[in-house]
Amino acid sequence: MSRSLSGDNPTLTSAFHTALLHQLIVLALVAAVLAVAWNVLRSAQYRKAVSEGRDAAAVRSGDVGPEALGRKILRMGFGILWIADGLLQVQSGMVLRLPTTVLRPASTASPGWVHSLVNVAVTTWTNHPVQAATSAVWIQVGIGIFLLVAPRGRWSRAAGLVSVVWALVVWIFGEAFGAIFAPGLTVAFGAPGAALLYAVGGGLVALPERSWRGPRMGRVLTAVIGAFFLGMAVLQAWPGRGFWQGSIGHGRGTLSAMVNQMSATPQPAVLSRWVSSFAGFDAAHGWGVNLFLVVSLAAIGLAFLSGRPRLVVAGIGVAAVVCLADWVLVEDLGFLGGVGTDPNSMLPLLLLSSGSVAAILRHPAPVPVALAAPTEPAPEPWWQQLAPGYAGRVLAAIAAVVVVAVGAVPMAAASANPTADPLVSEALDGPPTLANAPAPTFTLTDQHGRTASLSSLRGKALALTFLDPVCTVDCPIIAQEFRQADAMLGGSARQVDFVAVVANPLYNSLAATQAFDRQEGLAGIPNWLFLTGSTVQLEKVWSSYGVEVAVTPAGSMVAHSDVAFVIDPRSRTRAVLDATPGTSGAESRSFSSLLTNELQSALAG
Amino acid sequence: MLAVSAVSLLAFTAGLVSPTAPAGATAIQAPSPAPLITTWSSSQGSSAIVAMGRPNQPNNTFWQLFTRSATGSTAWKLATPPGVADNGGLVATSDAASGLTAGVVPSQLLTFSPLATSANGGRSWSSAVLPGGLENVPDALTSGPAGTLLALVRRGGGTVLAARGSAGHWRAIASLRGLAGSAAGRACDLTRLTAVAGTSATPVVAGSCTAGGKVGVFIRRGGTWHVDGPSLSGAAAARPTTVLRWESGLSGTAGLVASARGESLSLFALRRQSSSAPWSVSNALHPAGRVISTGINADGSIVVVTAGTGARREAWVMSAAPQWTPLPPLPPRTVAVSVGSTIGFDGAGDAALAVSGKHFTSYGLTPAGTAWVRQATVTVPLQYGSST
Repeated sequence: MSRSLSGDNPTLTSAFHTALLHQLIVLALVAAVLAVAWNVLRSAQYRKAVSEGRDAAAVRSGDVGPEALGRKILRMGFGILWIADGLLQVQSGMVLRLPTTVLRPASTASPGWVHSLVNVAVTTWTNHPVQAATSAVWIQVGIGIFLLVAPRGRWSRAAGLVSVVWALVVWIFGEAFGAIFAPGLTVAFGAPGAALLYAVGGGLVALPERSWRGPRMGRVLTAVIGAFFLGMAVLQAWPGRGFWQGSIGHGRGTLSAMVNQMSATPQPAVLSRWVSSFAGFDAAHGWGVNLFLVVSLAAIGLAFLSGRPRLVVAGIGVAAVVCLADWVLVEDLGFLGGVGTDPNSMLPLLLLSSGSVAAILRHPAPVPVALAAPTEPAPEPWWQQLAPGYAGRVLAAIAAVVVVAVGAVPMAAASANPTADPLVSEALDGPPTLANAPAPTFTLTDQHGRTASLSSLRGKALALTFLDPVCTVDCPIIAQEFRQADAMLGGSARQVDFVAVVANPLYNSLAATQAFDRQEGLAGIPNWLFLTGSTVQLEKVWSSYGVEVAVTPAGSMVAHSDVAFVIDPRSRTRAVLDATPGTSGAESRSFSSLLTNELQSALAG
Repeated sequence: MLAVSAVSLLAFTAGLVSPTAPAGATAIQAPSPAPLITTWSSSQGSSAIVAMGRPNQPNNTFWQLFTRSATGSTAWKLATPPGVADNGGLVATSDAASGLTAGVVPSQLLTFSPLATSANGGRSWSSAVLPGGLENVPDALTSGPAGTLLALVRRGGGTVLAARGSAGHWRAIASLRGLAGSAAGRACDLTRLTAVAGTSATPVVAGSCTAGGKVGVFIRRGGTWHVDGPSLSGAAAARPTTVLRWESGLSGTAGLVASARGESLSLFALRRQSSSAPWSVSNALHPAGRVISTGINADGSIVVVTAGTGARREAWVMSAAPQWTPLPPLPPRTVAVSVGSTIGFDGAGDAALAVSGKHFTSYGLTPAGTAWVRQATVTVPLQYGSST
């Protein structure tokens, strides 16, 4: 019988929190080193200035003019959002539940090629849940800090670029392209994907700052955002998509059904009631609700497209009301339920809209290019030219980059590593039981009809298990796990034999073991042995290894223990592993990793 | 900005495009094969295969074999072969010489069929394996003289294997591809194999045909396959057919054939005393719903249980006419009827078999033959959760 990891497995949750704590300590040390470096720099500047009787402050060329308000809104707004999203990733449920409750459902209604892409993320996460979960925390917190503290110029633009890259990764692999290829697309429920909006925000921050000077940026931004709202209004108004109907037959209309589903998310009762009430309201007045939404989106779109400041201001006012109402009543704040990764799309959409309005209403005047450019080389060293504020922000930006790297490097390594973390298997079945005792002897017949005994296998490490050749569930999985471990051992596989003993007193013929081997693709594997014998012989081996085998009635499988023994080349048992299979491929791969590690330990002595 | 505009446009147009199912060609489809629930009787006694447990949970549905001796007690006894999970189904055949042979239809990760044989009516079993997975039809296994066995397995779309004894060497003697490509198969547009009968020397293979009215039964003589089934007449002449059951033995040949067009199903019973005798074809039976179970005996009598209106079930037995005769209204939850080993319906030894979860209840007819009375209930120790 197989087991599955529950949503909050204590082993994995504990490992996750421990890893976060260790990484936090490392980052704190890095921050401390950078803080010391900044202090040393400041002290040296101060001493030199005092010794020369002048003010050490200097303006580094290029640091000119105030930041455009629109850019500042985007930079700080998305910086805060990224940090919030990173902190949301600290939730315990993220380790195990993110792939199954967030990633996979995102691509359910999307085409097969989208599934395949999302599956890459699901596989990486399930193979390395602790690594992936901690990485997601630090990457996002790091990006947020980077956006907030990076000094103006190349550093700030780099922060925008980094946020674009990660946001696109999330949009593709985590949000299934914002489900734009699935039916039922609506801006009310997050189209075209919150992560894409983060990417847009980051891209705007990454633009040269001179782009923000003058009215052109504001006009372009409001026009694009206006076109977006108008397009979403047309989409919302399109017939045949179930949004005009609050109820369809005995069921709910599209929007009402979505909202009703959100109200079932674990959340405070008052919020659930609000959302549920709105779902009921929409079910009763679907036509009116959709009309309101269509008219609002169109009005916002037209106002932004006009480019006229007064209309744009009115448009942002309407947008704020609609977006916030949608965020609460439809998106249900987006981050509840234990695996909420972000507050969904309304806040980023509002940020982009606000940034565009600010860009059109208040923009710095263009600045002459050659300000403060010295015509002679500065007499002081470069670190003397740095303003204290600028130097501090550079060091803080470096710290933020380190934070991102603490997440990005393990995530990249996990993505490239198809071998699952053995921790997953330990979380499912417990850690191996270590032993150091002579393995019980046996003399049985292999699948080719040849005699095989423990003594004849001495000199090699053994992975020994007990399989029912006509089993429908566990045994084929365990056999494949043994096969995977054989492949993972690489060259060391020559020193290992993988041995199974029949665990069925009724189906113990050579024909049965051979049929099983053919079924599992084991027939040609040279270091695979499937041993059988008479019922008396088998019962003796089961007993000596502590394996229970029971024939159960009425069309049921033979019940038997799922266990694997690791025996070293001197025929001593070194570890006993619970081989009860999990229900996912990651759990199987993880058991294979664990078995491989134990076999390598046995070979190493 | 260009990227944003492009994605917005993509989102907008993607949202308008609703996934639509591709227009499918209106292909002629033969009726579905018979379900696995079955009964059969011979001079040795009666047997039944039923599904028990939770029908909406495939891994908690367990197929059971029950047997009843021809003499003495009317009690049905659980005789399911042990040692293997049979969630996928159970198929069995019996022969006076070779006894009872049962095969498990593989499920989940098992791809070949374990077999079991019993010489004492299911009280004890010896095991073997089939190098393939049995098809999900009640006549996928048949035993003949001198211990020969024929098995219809899923390999290559349908393959017939033959062996002498269940532990003997199995060899392929026919396949869907081979038969469908033969002159005999092309004549009826054979699309699926649904039953095996006969012996390895003269095997009989039956299936689904889409050429109107042709009954897809084939016998091999002299190394080539010949059509051995009749053609249906009347309204059935234009419809595809499927052989649901086929029995070929010393007392002749009998079969149950379905003919359908869309939702409209007709059942015909066929009989022939010898290979040289003409076929007698019953009147058409038009059940109100789908076929629940079938039974075919060594002497050629046939019984069918079908869904009626609502939760009702109806049972029909083919009499000597040959004419379909309805049985008295069935008890609730009846899944199969076992008729005695005489042609037609005479009430003696007949049983209605009802299933509810772990409980198997048999009903016998009153002396007047107009109603069913409860005889006994067997509680089967199903092991829920054992196959997960």
